[in-house]
Amino acid sequence: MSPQKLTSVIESENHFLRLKLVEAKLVHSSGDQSDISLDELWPTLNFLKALGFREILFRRPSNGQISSWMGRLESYQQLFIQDPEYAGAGEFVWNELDPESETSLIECFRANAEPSTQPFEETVQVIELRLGPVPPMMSNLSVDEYALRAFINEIEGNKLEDCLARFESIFDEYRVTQGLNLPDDTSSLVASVICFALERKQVDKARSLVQANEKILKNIFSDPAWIIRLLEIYEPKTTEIQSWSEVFKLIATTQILDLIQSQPATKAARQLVKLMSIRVGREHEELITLCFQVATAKQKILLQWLSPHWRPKYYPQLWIQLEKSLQSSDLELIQLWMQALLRCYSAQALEDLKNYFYPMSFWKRIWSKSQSKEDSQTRLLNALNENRSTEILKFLKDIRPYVRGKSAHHVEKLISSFKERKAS
Amino acid sequence: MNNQIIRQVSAILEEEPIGCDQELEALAKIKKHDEYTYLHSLNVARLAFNLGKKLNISRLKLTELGWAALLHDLGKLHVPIEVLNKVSKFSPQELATMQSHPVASLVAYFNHLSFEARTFDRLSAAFEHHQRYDLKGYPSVKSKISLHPFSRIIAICDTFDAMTTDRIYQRRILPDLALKIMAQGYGTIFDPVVLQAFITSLGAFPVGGLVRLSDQSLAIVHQYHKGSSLDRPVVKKLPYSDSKEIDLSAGEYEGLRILRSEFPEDHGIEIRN
Repeated sequence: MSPQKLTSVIESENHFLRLKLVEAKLVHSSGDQSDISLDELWPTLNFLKALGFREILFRRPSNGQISSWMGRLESYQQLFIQDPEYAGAGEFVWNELDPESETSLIECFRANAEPSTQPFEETVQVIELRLGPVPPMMSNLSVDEYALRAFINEIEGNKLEDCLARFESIFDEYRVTQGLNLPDDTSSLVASVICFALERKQVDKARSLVQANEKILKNIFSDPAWIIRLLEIYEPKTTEIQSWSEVFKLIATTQILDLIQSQPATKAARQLVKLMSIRVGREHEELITLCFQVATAKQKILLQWLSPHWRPKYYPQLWIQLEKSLQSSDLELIQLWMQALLRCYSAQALEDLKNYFYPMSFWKRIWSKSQSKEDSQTRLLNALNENRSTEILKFLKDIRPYVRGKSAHHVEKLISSFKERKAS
Repeated sequence: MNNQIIRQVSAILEEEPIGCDQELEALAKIKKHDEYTYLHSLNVARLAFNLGKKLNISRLKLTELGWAALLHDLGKLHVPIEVLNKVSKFSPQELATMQSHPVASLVAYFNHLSFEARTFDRLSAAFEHHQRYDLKGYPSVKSKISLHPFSRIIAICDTFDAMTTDRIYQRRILPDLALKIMAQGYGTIFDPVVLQAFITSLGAFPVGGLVRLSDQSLAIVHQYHKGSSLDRPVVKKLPYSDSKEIDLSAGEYEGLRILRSEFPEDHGIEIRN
């Protein structure tokens, strides 16, 4: 309803008008009263009535002043509808004042206040207002069946994209409202939303949630239970693996290694392997550094992945690690370091390994007991046996003249087995 | 567990709230924090549930809608009681605290309820129930998404109940007047389809209300006949017990109409459901 109707009524009453809101009556200057419909005159009058106003007096306001007053009250009404509990009536300015005299040109009276009874001036025209039925609202009331059906369908089949987008909004808004980030204690909530996204195969959405909430998710991705839960939810397709691995970027590599050790038979183990493969491909330099620092159990896992990434620059460190491993009886570890060393720089490795078998005074300094020298030779030969190649066969032939005793027998056995395999 | 809360919730949801201990405890916390917010939550849930029923939504979603409405103000647990019940004008800081309750619902949900798939619907409603249909309300949401359908229902029920409930600082608004005011938010503040459905489900003069007829007599709105005009229900003039039913949509009462609704207590009348 256009507010023009009220304006034209005020104009017709020579800008001097009294409106009784409760009774819905217009008091003319003659003192006569006529029934009106607040809805038809200006629906916002209902708002004034609802807030306890009984009467409105118009004391010759100009059209501009009427328009300004109406605009202000309509905006109040919007605020009130949106938030009836907080849009306190006390904050609103109900009257329209004359800027010069500061007297009220439009004055609203509450139920317990008496309006001034200034006599009315003679009016130019007394208008008749049609007394129509009281419409419950000023818009079309019929419920559109199709629109209603669409709404019900929306309830029954709530869209996943909307749901996740909504949650991103909620988190974003929380950050804006609270200043910085979500508090740490809501990390599980964010993690649950990520679970929800993964359950519904929304990998990119899960990734963006992680990206946006990195700070608070740190404790989630250091909690084995949460990691396993998140990993087990979704098995990514080959094309999704890169994106999927980004969801887990906050997990420390050492944590992945721990879980690989502790969860060998779970659904998560397969995912951990995928995750590790991606990480090795992207961060092999960092992982090589880590490999030299961690305990042997983790080294064994890492060495299996790092095999293609050994470059000659790592040779000195690999040599040290091999020598260190020789002091233990962990054959698996010795084999893995040997493999790494051969991958790294096989020609140099085999040349240096000969020193273990040549009778040099230098080695006497290292091994005070011949027994430990022989043990190391056995371990090296076993490790070489796992990495057979023509180069190694040549190496065995090269050292054959220098080895004695048990080791000599071992070398002979290896050479013949190499030859047999070659022949077959 | 508070038996009164269980009874009240059962009456609204029309089923025993079995397996909803966390939700009931959350409601008990609201009740302890602020009785008005608790009663308001019950009213909003009743209105939302009834509207959902009229819309014929599935039983599962109906229960979810009921819970979403019952817990829509959970974030108010984070608003100090002195701010919640303040009678005078809010300071900007107090207003900001009040208006942060939809956002605070995020933490409130996390603190009081375990997180499951259905939490998404409920939390969405708690977060968005002060958001406008045209997304110009608060807290802000990304413009590309539409509000959750539960949020759109609860926003209307929330406003209606807030308007039609007595507060310390303001007398309640009569239901027909509240609907007329709310109609001014048609398509801007409220989803037009839901608002239409809401008004249609209640009628222009909700059943049980006291009305003044055009012959100046007082009557109580008794019922609406199917297909009758929204402002022409069946009424019974006072005194109620001896009165016959007057169907205002019938031809014989063409000249009779409802002028306005009035407060029963102003006439010394108490209307029970």
